[in-house]
Amino acid sequence: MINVVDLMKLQPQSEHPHGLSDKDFDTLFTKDKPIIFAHHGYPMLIHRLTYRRTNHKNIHVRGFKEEGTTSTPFDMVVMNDLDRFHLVADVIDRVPSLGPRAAYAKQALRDKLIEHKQYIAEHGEDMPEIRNWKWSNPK
Amino acid sequence: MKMKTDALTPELLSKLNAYWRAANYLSVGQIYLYDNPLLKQPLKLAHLKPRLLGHWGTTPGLNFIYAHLNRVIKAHDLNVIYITGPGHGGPGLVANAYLEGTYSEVYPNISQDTDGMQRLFKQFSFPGGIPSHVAPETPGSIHEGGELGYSLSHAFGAAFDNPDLIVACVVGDGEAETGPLATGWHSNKFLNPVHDGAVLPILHLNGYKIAGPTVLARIPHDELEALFRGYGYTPYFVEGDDPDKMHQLMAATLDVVTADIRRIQREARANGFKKRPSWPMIILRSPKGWTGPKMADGKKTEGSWRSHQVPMGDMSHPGHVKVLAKWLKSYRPQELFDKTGKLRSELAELAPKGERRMSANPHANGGLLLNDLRLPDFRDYAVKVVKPGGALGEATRVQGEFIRDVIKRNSANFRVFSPDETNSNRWGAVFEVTDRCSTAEILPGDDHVAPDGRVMEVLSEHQCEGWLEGYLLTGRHGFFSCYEAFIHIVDSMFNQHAKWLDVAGKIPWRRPIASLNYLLSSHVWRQDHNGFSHQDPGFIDVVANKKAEIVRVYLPPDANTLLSVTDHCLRSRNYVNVIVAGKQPTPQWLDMDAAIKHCTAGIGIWPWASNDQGGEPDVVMACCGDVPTLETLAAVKLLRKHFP
Ligand SMILES: Cc1ncc(C[n+]2csc(CCOP(=O)(O)OP(=O)(O)O)c2C)c(N)n1
Ligand SMILES: [Mg+2]
Repeated sequence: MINVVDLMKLQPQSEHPHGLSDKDFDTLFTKDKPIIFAHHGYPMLIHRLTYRRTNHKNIHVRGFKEEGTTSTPFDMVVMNDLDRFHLVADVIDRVPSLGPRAAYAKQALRDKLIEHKQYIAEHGEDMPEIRNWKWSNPK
Repeated sequence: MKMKTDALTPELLSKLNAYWRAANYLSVGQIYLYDNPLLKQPLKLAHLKPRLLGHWGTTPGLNFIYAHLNRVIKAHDLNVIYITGPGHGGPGLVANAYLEGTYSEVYPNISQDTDGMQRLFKQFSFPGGIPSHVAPETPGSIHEGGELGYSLSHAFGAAFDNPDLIVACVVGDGEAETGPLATGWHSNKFLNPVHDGAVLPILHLNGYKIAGPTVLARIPHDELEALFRGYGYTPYFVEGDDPDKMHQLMAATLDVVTADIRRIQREARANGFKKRPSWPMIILRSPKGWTGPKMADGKKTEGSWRSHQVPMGDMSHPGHVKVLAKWLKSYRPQELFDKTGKLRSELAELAPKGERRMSANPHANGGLLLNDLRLPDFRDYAVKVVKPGGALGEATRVQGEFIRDVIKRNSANFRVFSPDETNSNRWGAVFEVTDRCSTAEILPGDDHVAPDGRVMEVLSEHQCEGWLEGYLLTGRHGFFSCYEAFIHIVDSMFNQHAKWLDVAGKIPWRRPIASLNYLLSSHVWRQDHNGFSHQDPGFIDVVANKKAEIVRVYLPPDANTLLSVTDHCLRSRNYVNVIVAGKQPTPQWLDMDAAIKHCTAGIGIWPWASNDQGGEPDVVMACCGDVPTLETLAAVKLLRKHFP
């Protein structure tokens, strides 16, 4: 899992003094593995910044795609396919080696998204499992 | 108020007029002449530039004001910088910097002799030369005036915390039709005569824009006067077209205005701030293209929109060269410049000396005056994070505590600017040490509003941006806190500032200034309550278009990374730093040590959320921004559950 604080790191070194070298970029992002990139802003910006990188063809960016309204915080990300369930589905779609479990997992994700919509429509806030979500490391 | 008609002795009147003629001569020369700078030979088409690019119309007015400011600067030892809203009057500002010697000091090749004058003329709006506007290349400028509308905001930004400085600010009557300028007049409700300098707005009412009349030139006199009284100014009218009368009137008016400014400052500084003063301003109604050809091709030119750019654009037209020669000779250059081409000493004497010259005033090269901020140790504000996700925090609230102490330690060279969003973006802590600035009426129920507040809140992103730019360009530091969606309002101002930084960075005599720092909070993912109108993360797309040497974009995922980035931005120079960060309570990921390392690298693997140690991963999960980071971590957790 890679986190980007300084967006200009993504640009080639030749374009921005902060840019990562191609070698470092390839080490981080691999030369051929799928990349699921969850971006704060409009997805095109990530493509603009990385279009020359070796693995650019495998970068799949999620971000704001101009879906918005007054709703819940989690629904904002859901509307733009940037939520955890969509991100996992993106992984499943791109990693063939996940095997037969993938179909069950995808169905579970889809159900969660339906559950989410029903829950917020009734209660006006996000599901407790979203609101109270916590990170935990496997033991 | 009746003005004296004999403020100038006949001798001074004649000299002042000669100085103005010299500036006008040099301005026309820059626009038209390739060679034969002092008309030693009869003027021919071959002496002219093949392409004539520039703006004459506004220039004689700018030169008129400049010459008169020189007089009061010398008479009262004033510290003045000059901002020209109609920055297309570039030739005038270059001419004046040349006349007072600054130009040759910074560009020795443009010497004060005939050859130097020829190069001065040739280089203007010429490939490899200088731009047509009052660009960074122009000594004394902090305001290019290319994109119109920001002169007053820049002027007030320059005046804040500069008690000794007077910023003379020419506002074009066309420029005055823009939104930012219209709001800019209200800056007087934020200027405190105790510790701020003064702004002297001069509305340049030459009646026209490029091709049409201006609004303010076509409303009745009493309406115009009432408008500016309504804005809280005391307007002084200087109106006419007879040079001698106008010189007397302008001189008398500037004496009165200077006395007004000094009286206001003296009283406030002796007795403390009592009430908002009515600052003086000047309304200069004079012909556009004043002293230029009365007619060209049978059409009225002086006093008309036709003189906006280059009168008689096509010089091959029969008779045009003759008109130009007559025009140039009307300034009687042989009386102004000696045999070597140097301004005669009795005229050169009229200019102020050293750093009192507006073209050499260090405030207009702010880096010269820039001091480092006294920064508290940002690590002292760290959120305790024992394990990733183990604590909740509101990133911008924590940052606000840091900013509070930056304000506390830097009480005269750091301010915060915001369109009424300081609290909403969770910087409320700053109000423990300061207030919102207002010199207008304050009522008992107001929340932290005071005439010496360091938080500049006005509901105009344009004003916030312009003030901050003016403040930075004159050698100070600041932060702009804004809703992410509405920072787009100043896309274009950001563009202009980034261009300025880019060009200024390549000019050896310009010293680096503090970076322009944005905090964009209340961002797209947490505007669920305000809805679609408030959701737009696109400012960083605009920023990413700019030169790499100038722009930095940071999306710290939590409070400690935000602190580290903020500290870095406050130390940087000549950049535009954009920080996008959330204000809602969210899990915190990195302790301070990890945050510093992560921010120093700018990008990195979070090993505790990865499971590819030692091998190639099947998939790379990447994220940027606080909400995407949280969703990505939640996705990682789900993946581990479904695919252990
Ligand atoms: C924001 C913006 N819009 C349009 C222009 C194009 N423009 C250049 S000069 C000008 C007219 C300016 O008129 P005024 O402010 O009255 O200046 P002056 O008459 O002194 O030349 C215009 C519209 C511009 N430079 N900036
Ligand atoms: Mg005008």
